[in-house]
Amino acid sequence: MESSDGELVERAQRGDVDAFEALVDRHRRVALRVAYAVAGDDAEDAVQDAFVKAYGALGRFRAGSPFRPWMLRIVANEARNRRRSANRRSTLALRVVDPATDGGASPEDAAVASERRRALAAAVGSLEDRDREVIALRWFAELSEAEMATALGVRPGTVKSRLSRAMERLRAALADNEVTA
Amino acid sequence: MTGLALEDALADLGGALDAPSGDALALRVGARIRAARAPRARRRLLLVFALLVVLLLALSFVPAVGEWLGIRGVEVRQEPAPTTVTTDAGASSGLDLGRPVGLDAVPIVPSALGAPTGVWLDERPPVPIVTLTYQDGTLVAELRAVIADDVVLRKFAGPGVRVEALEVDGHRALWVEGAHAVAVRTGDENVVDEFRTSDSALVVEIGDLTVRIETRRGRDAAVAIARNLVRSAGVGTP
Repeated sequence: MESSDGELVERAQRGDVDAFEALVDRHRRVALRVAYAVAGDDAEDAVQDAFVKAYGALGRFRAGSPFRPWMLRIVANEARNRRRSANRRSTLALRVVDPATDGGASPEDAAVASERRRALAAAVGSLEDRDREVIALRWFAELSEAEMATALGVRPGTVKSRLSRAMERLRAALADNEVTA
Repeated sequence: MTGLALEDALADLGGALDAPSGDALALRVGARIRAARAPRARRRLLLVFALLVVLLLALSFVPAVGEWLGIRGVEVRQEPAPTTVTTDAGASSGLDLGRPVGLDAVPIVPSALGAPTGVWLDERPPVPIVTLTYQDGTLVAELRAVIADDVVLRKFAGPGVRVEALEVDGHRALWVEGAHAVAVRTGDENVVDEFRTSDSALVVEIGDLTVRIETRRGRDAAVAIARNLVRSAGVGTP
């Protein structure tokens, strides 16, 4: 039977690196998705550093709390710091890979869906770092608002307002892009 | 786009982002953690033994018996050498460095020392030891003691011998000042340990090599030779 996050964390806290590797493998895709949305091509280095730091910080992890938001907080911090230290302030170009069609959609529909994805990725990439981060945690990592509060280190009420403002700005960016297209 | 449509579109975008797959991420993270833990453990060990040395010096009227310091493949025991060596095969003594070989057998040649008077290969220990000897009596021995707990050389630092833990350009080292006995493990535990005496010596880890530098010219000269070896090896700070 597959070990739970809690069991793996407990083993890792006792120095079991194999257990921590299992945690990394389990959460890497979500971590990379969030880091990519925040730091673009620096994502992999950021996530690698973040996991190494997370291992060092396991002693401060509260037993029984969910691992993913705690880990994503470290990942987001690392990704944000990398982007800041690289002094990258311009728009982040997020690349999109269209999923393979399952035969249900016509080529025309697939092309329209692809175009919409690219437009949305461009709009997300044009947002400020803190807006991209909150959108990534909510929609790319699929965290609840309570989990986002852990990941962002803020109160749940603050999450709601930050997310709401980020979505407003995203809609505005989409509208701008439509006007300029 | 409606609110719900935008949320669905964002969820769909999350799965379509061209983020790295990170297939080898877990292995890389694990490797970094393991690599970082080893020096920390070694530093803790050195700290413990540094404290021990201070304690032993403070209590110098008490014979220092049975305590030891370690460098990969080399154990430095702070006790007099046994007067007799008890082994199944009997004891031997003297400067037997093995058979003569060419310089191409030497992992790192210390360029600053000039041409050696001899190059020797001893294949009796669990890992081969290559030794260079020089005109002024300096001796540089190199071994690949990749298994941390596998002791190849034992040094017995009895009374009057000072042991100092230090770093040479970030590489862990021990300076043993004063004539002391060296035992070369020549096989399994039940086979002979060969004893000989040594001048002051520096033992240093350089990459996967453990290097022993024996010189009468003092600590600073030994450290300079070690630095030259580090540069010749082209390895960075560990």
